Amino acid sequence: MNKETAPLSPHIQIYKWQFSSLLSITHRMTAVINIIAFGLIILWVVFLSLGPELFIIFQNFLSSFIGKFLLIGFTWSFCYHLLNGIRHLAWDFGYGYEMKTANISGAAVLLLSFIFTTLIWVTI
Amino acid sequence: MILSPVKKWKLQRLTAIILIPLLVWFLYSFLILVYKDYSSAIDFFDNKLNSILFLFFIVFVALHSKIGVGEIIEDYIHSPSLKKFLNTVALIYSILMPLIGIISVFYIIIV
Repeated sequence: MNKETAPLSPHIQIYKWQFSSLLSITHRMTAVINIIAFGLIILWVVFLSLGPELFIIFQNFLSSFIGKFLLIGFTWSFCYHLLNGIRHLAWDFGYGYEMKTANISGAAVLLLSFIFTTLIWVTI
Repeated sequence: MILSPVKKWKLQRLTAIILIPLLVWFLYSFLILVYKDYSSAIDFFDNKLNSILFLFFIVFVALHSKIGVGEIIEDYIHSPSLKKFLNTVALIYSILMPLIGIISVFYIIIV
């Protein structure tokens, strides 16, 4: 296909910021964050397979302020992407397109992502 | 692996549905391990069900994220050469990460 004539959707800069678009871009940002978290999970398993001495070094890092900050952030990112992903799947099956419904489900996703993160970290 | 856009769309949704219970399981049982001692973590993987769920989890995450990141690259990166480079990086990452994970889990179980 000719590059000049290929159809392109308008770039994000021209859209007015709305609650729905903010949630949508957050879905993509959490996707990228989750991929980084995935690397950390794999690294954790690698350290575990290398024996107790190295495992403790990695665990000490995760227990530090930066480590905890990262883990709590990653937990929220996973929770958000999971909940908003379910919202996306509902749309794919044809549900929840009403403006009011979409706003309510969006607010619910945001609220629940923080509640779930808190619940997980309180039980740990 | 080159898939048609329709197949990619379907596979992205299928992997998403499979990942819902796997991610809930992961957040619930795996995060607890982070601050437990070495032997608890080893015991976790000695349980076959945990190992199998973990392996499924990492393979589906790799698949799901490769398709998703491909979509993000397609939407925001306009230079064809940069697009190709980033897609290659994403492909290597999505193969290498689960592969390292699988090898590590087998090493934990066997040793």
